[in-house]
Amino acid sequence: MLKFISVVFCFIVSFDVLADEPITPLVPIEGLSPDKVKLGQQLFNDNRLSKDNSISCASCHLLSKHGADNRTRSIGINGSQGIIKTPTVYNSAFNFVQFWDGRSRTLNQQVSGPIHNPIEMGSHWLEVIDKLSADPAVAVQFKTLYDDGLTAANVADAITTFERSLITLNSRFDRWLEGDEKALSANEKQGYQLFKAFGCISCHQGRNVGGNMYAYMGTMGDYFSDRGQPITVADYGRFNVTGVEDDKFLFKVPSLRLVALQRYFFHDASERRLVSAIEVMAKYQLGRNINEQDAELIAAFLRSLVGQHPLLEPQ
Amino acid sequence: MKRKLSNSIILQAVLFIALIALLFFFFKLNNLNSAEHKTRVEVLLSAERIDAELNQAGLQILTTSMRHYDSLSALYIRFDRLMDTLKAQPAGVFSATNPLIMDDVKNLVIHLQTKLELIERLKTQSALVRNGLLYLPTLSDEFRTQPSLSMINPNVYLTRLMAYQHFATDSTKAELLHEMEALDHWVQLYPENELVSNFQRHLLKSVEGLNKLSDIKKQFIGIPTKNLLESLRINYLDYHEVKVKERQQLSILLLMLCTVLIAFLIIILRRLDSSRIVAEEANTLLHNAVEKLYEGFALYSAQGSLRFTNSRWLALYGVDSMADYPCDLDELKTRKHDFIVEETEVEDEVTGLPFTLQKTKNGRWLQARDTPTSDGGLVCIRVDITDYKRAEHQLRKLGRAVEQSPISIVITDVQGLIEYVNPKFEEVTGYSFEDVKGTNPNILKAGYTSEVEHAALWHDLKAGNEWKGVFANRKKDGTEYWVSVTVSPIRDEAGVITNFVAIKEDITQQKADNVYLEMAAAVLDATPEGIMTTDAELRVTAVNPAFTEITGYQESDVLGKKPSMLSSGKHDADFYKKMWGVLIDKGRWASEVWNKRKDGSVYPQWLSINVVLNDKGEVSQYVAILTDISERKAQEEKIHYQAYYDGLTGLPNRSLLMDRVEHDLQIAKRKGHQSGLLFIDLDRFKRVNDTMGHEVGDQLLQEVAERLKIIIRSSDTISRFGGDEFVIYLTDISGPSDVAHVAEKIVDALSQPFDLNGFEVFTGASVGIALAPVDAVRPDDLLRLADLAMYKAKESGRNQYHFFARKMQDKINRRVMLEHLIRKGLEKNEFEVYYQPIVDCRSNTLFGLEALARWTHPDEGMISPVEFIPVAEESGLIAPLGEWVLTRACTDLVDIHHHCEGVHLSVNVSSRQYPLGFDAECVKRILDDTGIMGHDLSLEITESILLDDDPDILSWLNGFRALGVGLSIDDFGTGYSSLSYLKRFPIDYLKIDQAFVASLNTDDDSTPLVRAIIAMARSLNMKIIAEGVELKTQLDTIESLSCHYVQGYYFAKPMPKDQLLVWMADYLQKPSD
Repeated sequence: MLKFISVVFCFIVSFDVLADEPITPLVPIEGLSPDKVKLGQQLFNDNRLSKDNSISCASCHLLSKHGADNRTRSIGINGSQGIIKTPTVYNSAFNFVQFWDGRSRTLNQQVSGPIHNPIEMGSHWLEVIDKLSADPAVAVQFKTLYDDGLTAANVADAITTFERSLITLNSRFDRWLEGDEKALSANEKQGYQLFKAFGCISCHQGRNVGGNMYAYMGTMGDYFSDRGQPITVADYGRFNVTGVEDDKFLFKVPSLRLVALQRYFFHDASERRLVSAIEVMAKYQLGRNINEQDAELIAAFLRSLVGQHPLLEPQ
Repeated sequence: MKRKLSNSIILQAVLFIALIALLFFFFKLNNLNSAEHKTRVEVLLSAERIDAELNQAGLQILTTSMRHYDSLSALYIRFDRLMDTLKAQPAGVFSATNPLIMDDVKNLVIHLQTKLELIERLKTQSALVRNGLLYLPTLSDEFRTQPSLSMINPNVYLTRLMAYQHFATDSTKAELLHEMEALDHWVQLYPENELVSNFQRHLLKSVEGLNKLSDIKKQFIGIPTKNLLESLRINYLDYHEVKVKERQQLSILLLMLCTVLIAFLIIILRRLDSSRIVAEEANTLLHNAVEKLYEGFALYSAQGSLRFTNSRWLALYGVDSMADYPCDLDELKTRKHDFIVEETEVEDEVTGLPFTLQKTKNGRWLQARDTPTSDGGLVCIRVDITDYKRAEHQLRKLGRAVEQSPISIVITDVQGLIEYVNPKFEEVTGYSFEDVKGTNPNILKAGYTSEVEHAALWHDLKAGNEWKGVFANRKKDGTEYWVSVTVSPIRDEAGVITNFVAIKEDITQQKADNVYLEMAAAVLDATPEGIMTTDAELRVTAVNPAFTEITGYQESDVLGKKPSMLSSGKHDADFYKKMWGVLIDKGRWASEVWNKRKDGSVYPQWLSINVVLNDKGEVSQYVAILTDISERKAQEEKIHYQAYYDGLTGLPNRSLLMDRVEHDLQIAKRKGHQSGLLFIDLDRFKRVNDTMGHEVGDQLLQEVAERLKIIIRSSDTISRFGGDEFVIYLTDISGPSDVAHVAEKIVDALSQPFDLNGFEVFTGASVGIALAPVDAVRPDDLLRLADLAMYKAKESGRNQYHFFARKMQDKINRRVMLEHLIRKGLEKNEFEVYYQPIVDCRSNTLFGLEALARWTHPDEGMISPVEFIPVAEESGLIAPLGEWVLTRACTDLVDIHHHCEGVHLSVNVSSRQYPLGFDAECVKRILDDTGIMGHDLSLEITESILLDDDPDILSWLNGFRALGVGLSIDDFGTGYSSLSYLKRFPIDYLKIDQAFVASLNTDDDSTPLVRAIIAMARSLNMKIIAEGVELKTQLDTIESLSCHYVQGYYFAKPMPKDQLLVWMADYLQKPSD
């Protein structure tokens, strides 16, 4: 039966190349002011955004890696530990909401989150603006780019503009979508077919291969009781935002674009191997056992999703 | 009276301002309200649109017809924006309306937000259900691998589940739950069997998911946003209407107020007018009197303000109008220097009275007298004395001219005794005035002037005439110098001679000036430009040595001759006519000209001719300047050469390449060598350009050019044809393998990644090759064939090369010929219709016939539909052909019905026929003409036409259905087979593609797939026709899957009507088994 489904899919692929694939290629966001991108990048790396001038956005969102750090929990000011794994900043412009629990609709709203969070940057806009306006170079940059100069809204805008430039283009998978048959190996193509046949695609679709809907962690099995670790507040997911009982354990489906570069997986960083993560997903999200060979093929497909960006270390 | 006047003006102004302010507020009020109204209506419309889009999105998610959810992001952004405009306390843009509207807005916000939340829940649940339905058939197949479970028929549950999914009614739910209880029984029977429990678990999850989905759907549908929007719209429009009425009333009130004000204003203006007329009359009298005065007159009040003045006053001070002149004494004091530059107190020489002498800015001298009046004012009178002053000045000026003259001047009395000499005289002669005063000018004589001349001089002078002559004079120090002298008598008013004045000009210098003329001649000799002068009659008067050098002609050769002797004969009469036109018109002319040297050689020169006019403006001579420009010519050729190269890559461009190919092919004709032309097109270049920008695209092209240059020999030509096309021409090759080798290298080189701006860019190339003289001997042909071969390379998968093959040309020729033959064939009735029977599986009776077009050409024999249908589709001939087949088949069916009542007819319709105008009207006409009923006919279409999800297609298909005609999907399973679109279109039959039938019972057993298709079709109320049944085993399997109809060689192949009638007679007699 599986074989036949793939036969049918092969037909689909050969007849209607792009129009019908549930994943579409990443495209750059047009119309970003290069000066604002530059300013945003500078602020992204600016330690003054934190209370004790010790960390910046880039401390946890390592741009040379996968847009996040390689820790189970990130470290904030005074060595405090986060409660959830840091998600990637790459391609985040295409997410339909921000944070694991979707508590910000836009990137712009998201910026305030880490700045005000006492265990992350632990600062406040008033404090940040005070510190930045003491630096004439920064104030002049804002004066030239924004009519009203240095304000919290404009700092957020510059950072957001920079974040919108962080799109990983030209992945081998995207090249294949565009018609370059040779961009993918036979294994990777097979991995993609399995990804669709198993049903991973139901949640991980669109150009970001995720990031545009919510799903329960443990749809087909009790993930949290099997995990063995006590349930934390972070595990409640969207419930923490809405307070609706039905929203417990509901999370934003994360993008898989750079998942192959991650060291830890899931919101709780409970897995360390990509293949194991795929197996966990099959078991708890699809209620199916996947054999190691199929999981390896899907992993091969996931690796082909990694695109390029001048700030990202070439793979 | 004046004060009264100014008071009224103030009153007037205040009234005016009040009036304008009223009107301004009136319009502003109007504008403000209408802008606010516009915003609100826009928000309402936007809310309605967003609500409709949310409904549509919900529906699409429910029918799983959304491939991914990216498109919702844009909707969410608009949704947020809408919420921002509605949520600001208390009711966004609808704040400050009425409580009814504000309540509606608050409710609307709450419900719209709920709707959005439900859409998110729909997405989550729909993914769960979809995965369950995807996995359950796989699990059900596993049952067959465990013979111990043969008692369980998992398909029953699947069918019930599908029924529940598509028709979530109480009855389908009850049936499903009933079956689930049965399954529970099996689970208890096989507690250890993982498959059974797994199957149950997934089934339960699916049911649970479907229930939830159904609940969410109910909630979603139950959200009263539509009613709320309706109510909001009605309430708001009511509110707006009331507001408009209120405003209208207010407007009328305001207008009335304005009218009253205007009336008041008119009355005031009239009163003012009559008092002004009385004042003006008195004023005019005074004015006229003073205006007549020749003196300037001004009257100042006791307060010092200027009361009155005449135009003479203003003219004296150079002022155009009253406005430019100070209006009181204080201002005059500060601006005094604008009018008066000098002022001195003087006493009148005659009367002894003091007055002031003023010099005005415009250079007049004024005598000024200011006298106080009895009421403390001041009367001022100005008399213009400029003319006296000017005469005085003139005298002083002349005196100074004589003093400073560069010419010696001597004035004597009538006896000739010196009365005055000027400083120049002193400077030239060395004598001071004291030395010569009262002496005779003879002391200067050098002694060369004869006594006779001297006598003549005195004679002339005494007669009162002027005398001119040249003397040699001697200075005080004894040196001699030459002077030209003019002596004139000076007379008094009575005409009596009182003095003589002698003006002496030193002409010693003039004598030296001839030297300069000689120098100019030397320059003429040395200049590299050839110079020739002629007189007005065009006879050569002079030439310089450079002329001789350029033309080879000696001066003696050309003097007195006409310049036409130089002409090369390269220019026609018209050229010279134009030249003379310009010369006469502008006085000069210049152009590039071909002339002939003395030795007969022709050369290019820059010739410029100037006309020299004499004092009377007549032509006195022509001057021609010749420059040899052979060298400049050479540079121009270089520029021309650059036109043959591509600016971006520096490679030869198309024209140069074509020139070279042309040239090489000429040589090849004589020498007999072979050449190859490679046409290279970059793969995916457009994508690089689109996604990374033109700069990266240009960089890529340059890199490609560099890589190509490394590959070829220096004797070969590589060129860029613009865009992403490159052409390489290899000359003198030993054979195709040479070219293949180069092509391989090119494909290899260009498939390596390029590093551009930090991005790794992949392109690759498709190469087409044509050879000369094997394939073509003309450059254009060679290029065209290589281009054709390149397309072939592209078609067969990019990143490779392809030789041109005669077959390609043949294929095109064949297409063109076929198109022609089809046209003729239609005219000559060469087409036939064959029929293949379709049998009802259950009763084994004849159900229907599929009509198939066949073509036997008198010369070409049988031509397969596989070959001619695509050509007919491409050329549009499918329209007449399709209609012909349908008409023919319907006509035949009448006859067939005589032999077997109720046989169904199935005819193929190409998707190309849709845009060509084939429609229900067409079918109705054919049905009417032949007398066939609509329900006897069905039309076969392919899946591809449904994929566009075009509402026009839907109405096209519904048109056929309205005639009772059935619709079937041909070749089902080969395209993208989606349940969701089948649901949307009115389809009656699915024809399972023969590929699936062929693989029944083979290693690649397609049985489960066919079963799934059949189950799905049943749930959608469609009938199944299996195509291509050839074997008994296939038939058995298909029957076991409860397929409705079959068609294939097992029963009969397609055949003409006559054979069909024979077959039918035979088949109908067979007992059905």
